[in-house]
Amino acid sequence: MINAIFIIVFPLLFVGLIPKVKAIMVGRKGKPVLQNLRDFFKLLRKSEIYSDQATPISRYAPLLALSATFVAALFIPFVSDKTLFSFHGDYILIIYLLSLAKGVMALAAMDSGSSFQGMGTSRELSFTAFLEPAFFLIVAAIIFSSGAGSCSEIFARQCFGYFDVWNSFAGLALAIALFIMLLVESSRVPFDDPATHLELTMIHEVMILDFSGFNLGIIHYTAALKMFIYASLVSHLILPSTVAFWWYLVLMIAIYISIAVLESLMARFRMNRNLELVLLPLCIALLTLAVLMAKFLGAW
Amino acid sequence: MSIGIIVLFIALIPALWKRSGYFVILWLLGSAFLAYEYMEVMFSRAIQDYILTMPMPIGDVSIALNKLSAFFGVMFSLGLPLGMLYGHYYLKEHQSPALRSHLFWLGIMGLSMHGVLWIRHSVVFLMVWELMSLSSFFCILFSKRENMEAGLNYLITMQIGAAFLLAGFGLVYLQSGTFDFSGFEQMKPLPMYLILIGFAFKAGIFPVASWLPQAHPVAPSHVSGIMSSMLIKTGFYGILLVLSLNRLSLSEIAALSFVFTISAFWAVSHLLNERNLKRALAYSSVENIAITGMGICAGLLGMHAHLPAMAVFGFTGAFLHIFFHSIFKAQLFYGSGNILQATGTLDIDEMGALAKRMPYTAAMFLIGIFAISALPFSNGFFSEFTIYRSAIEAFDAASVAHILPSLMLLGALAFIGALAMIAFIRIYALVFQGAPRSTKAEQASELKPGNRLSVLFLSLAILITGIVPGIALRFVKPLLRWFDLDMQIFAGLQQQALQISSIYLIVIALFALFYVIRKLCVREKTGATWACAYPRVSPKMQSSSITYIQPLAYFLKPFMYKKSTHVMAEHPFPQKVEYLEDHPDAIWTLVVRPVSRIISKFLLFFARIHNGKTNSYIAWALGFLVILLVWVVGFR
Repeated sequence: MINAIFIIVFPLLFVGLIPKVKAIMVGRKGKPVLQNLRDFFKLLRKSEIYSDQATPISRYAPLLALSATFVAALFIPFVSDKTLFSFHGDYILIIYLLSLAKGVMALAAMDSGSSFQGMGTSRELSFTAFLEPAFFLIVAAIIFSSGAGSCSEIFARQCFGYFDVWNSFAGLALAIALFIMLLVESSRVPFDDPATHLELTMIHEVMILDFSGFNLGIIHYTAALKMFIYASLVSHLILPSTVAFWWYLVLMIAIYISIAVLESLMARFRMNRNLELVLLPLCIALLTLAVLMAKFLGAW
Repeated sequence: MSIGIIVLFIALIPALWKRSGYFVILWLLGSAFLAYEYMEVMFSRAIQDYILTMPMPIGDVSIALNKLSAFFGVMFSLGLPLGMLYGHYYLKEHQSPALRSHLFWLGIMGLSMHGVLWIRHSVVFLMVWELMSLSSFFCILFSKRENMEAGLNYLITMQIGAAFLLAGFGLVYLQSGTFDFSGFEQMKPLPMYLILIGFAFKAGIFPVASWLPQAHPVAPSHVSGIMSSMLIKTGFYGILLVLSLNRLSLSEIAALSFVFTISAFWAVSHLLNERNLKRALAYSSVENIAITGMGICAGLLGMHAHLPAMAVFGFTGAFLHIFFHSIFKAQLFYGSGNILQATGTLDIDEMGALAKRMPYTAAMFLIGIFAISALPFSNGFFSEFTIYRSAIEAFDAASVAHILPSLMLLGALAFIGALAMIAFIRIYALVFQGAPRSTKAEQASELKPGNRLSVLFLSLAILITGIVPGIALRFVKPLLRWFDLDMQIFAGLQQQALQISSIYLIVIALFALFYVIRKLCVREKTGATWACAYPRVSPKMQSSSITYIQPLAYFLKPFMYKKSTHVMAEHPFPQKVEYLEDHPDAIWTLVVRPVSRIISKFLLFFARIHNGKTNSYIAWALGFLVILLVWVVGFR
C-alpha cells in the first residue's frame, strides 16, 4: 500500500530533479523541483483542443495508457518489497501492460494525421522491437540464477544473493542494461532529448504534439511513472537485501542525478544510428546469459 | 455424426439453386448438430466410432473421433457457419453466374474439412484431403480470370504436399502393413519426416508457405477468412496427429523449433513491409502458425526434459493459440473484406480516415488488431503469455541442451511479438486514421449491418475469451488430459487466468474512473493539426507505409529480397521522377518461379510433337513401329 502512495506522488517530483541538476551543472539556478507537479495540476484544469482528424482514440488512449501503466506499477517493488499484486510470471503481464500503453499512445499519435507524429511513432515503436526481447532476456538471466518466479522476487534487492562474487559482475551488467533501457524508454539524452524544440529531432515529444490540457498532463505523468518503474527496478537489482530501506531512496536519487549528469556531459546520438545503440541492452543480456551458461557447464 | 453430416449434404441442394440464405441456415443447423457431437466426445467418455467396409484394396475404414480431432471439430463447426454467413452478405454485392458452383464448392470444402477430422484410414484420408484442396481451389477462383495464377499456384503446391503425404503413407503401410492411423505409432524417421513435410505445405510453414501470400489476397474475403483461420489448421492437425503418436528426439525438437522461429521471422519481416491489407494478414497467418509451433516445441522440450510445468504450459499455449487465432484471424479477414467493399482497394496507402466513415468496422478492427498483436484484454495475449511461461520454465532443466532452444524461443517470441505489434499498429493507423489518402477512401461509407454481423460475433468472442481466459482454458482441458499431462499444474494455470482477469478488471475500473473525471472537468475544442504553421497541408504529407517502418527497415532489409525501379530525371527541367520499391517473397521470386519456368520449358519441348501436321504424326508412328520391331527382333 505504501508503494501505491509512493507512485502517486513521487514520479513527477523525481523527474523535476533532472532539470535542476542540469541547470546547476551549467551554473544556472534552474526551475524549482516542484515545478513539474505544479504544471501537472495546471494542465488538469485546462481545456483541450483536438485536431479535426482526431477520433475517440486520441481522447481516451492517454487514460488507458495511464491505467495500464499504473496497474503495472503495482507489481513493481518500490519502497517496500511487498507489492500489492504478485504472481508467478507477472513480469510478462507487466511488460505487456507497458506495451499496451505504448501501443495505444502510438495509435493516438497517428490519429491526427500529422507527418511529425508519424515520424515520432515509427521511431519510438522501432525501439520496442529490441527492448522487449531485452527485458525478457534480462529477466530470464536473473531467473536462471535465482529460480524466482514473480517480479517482486526477481528484483527485490537480492542481486548479490543470487550471484556469487564472480558473477556479481553479471548482475551489475544486467543493471547497466536495465539502465540503458531506462534511458531509451523515458526518452533521455543519448537517444532523445526532452528539452529539444525542433519537431524533426523529437521522439517522445513529437508523438504528443497534438495533445493539450488534461490529457497532456496525464501523458506527462504516465511518462514519469514509466521512468520511475525502470529506475526502481535498477536500484532494487543493485541493492543488497541487508541494507536499510533509506538506501533505496538514496540510490533512486542517485540514478536520477546520474541521468542528469549524463545529459549535461553527452551529446545525442545520430538519429538514424540510434537503433544500433538500442541493441545494447539486448546484447548485454545475451552476453550475461552466455556467461551464466558457461558457469552452469562448470567453467568456474 | 449422421444427422449433422446429412444436413450439411442437404445444404448442397439450395446451393445448386443459388439460394445462399437457405444454404447458410442449413449450415448453421448442421454445424450445431456436429458441434454437439464434438463436444460430447471432448467432455464425456462417449466415443464416436464407425467402421465402413469398402471394396478390397481399401478394406475397413475406421471413422472415429478422438479428443484432438474433436477439438479441431468444435473450432470448425463454430467458425465455418460464421464464415458462410459472412459470405452470404459478401456475395450479395457480386451477383455472378458462378455463384452456383461457388456455393457448391464452398459446401464441399466445409464437408471435406470435417471429413479430414473423422477419417483414420490413410488412403481415404488422402482422397478427402485432395477433395479439400480441389474445392478450396475452386472457391479461390470465383469466376475471376486474375485469380487463376494464384489459384493454380495454390493447387500445385497442394499437389506437391500431397505427393509427400502419399510417399509417407506408403512407407508407413510397407512398415506396419495397415492403412489405419494406428500404424503411425513409433514410425521410422523417414516416413515421419515425409508426412510432416506434407502437412507443412498445408499449414504454411516457411519454405513452403509462399502460396499463402499469393492466394489469400485474391480469394473472396469469406474464403480467405475460412482458409486462413481454419483450413490451414488441418495441416497443423496432421502435424499434431503425428507428434501425438511419436516421440521426437532432442535434436529433432531443436530443429523443429528452429524451423518455426525462422518461419515466424520471415513472415513478420514481410508483414512489416506489406502494403496489401489481405496479403499482410496472410503473412501474419504464417507468423501465428509459427508461434503455435513454438508453443508445441516448448511443450515437447518440457516432456523430453521431464518438466511437467513446461510441457503443460507449452501445449496449453499452443492449443489456445490455435483456437484464438481461428477467431481473430477470421475476424480481421472479414473486417478487411468490408473495407475492400467500401473502398474498392486493398492498398493501405490509398486508405486513411476510415474510422470517421466506418466507425463500427473501425472499432471491431481495433479489437482484432489488439488480439493479433497480443495486447492485454484480448485473447491473443493469454495464449502467448502461456507460451512465455513455458519457455521460462526451462531453467529448471538439468542440461543446457534443453535450456538453449527454449531461450531461443523466448527471445524470438518477444522479438516477433513486438514486430507484429508494430506492423499491426501501422496497418490500423494507415487504414483508419489521419486524413483520407485517396478519393476512394473519401467516398467510403459503412456497409449494411448484415456484413458486420459475423465480425461482431467474432469480436465479442475475442473480448470474452480475452478478458476471461478461464473459459477457453476449460475448453482445452480434456485435450491436455488426453496428452497425459499434469493436471495439477493446469489447475494452477486456471488460477492464474482468474488473477489476470481480476487485474484486467482493475485496469478497466481505473479507466472508468479517469473517464468520468475527464468527462466532468474537460471542455473540448477542435482545430487544425499542428504542422509547424505550414498553411498548405495535404494528405500526401502523412507518413506512408514505407516511411513508417523506415527506422526498422535499416535492420530488416538485409534479410529481405528487394526489387526496385528508378526513373531518374535526365534533363535540367522539371520532369516526373519515379521510384518503386517492392519486397516480394524471395522463395517465390527466386526459387518457385525459375524452377517452374525450367519445368515448363522442358515440357514445351514435348509440345513440339503436337504440331498439327499429319505427315509428321505418321513419321512419329513409323519411328515408333521401327523401334518396336528392333526391340522385338532383338529379343529373339
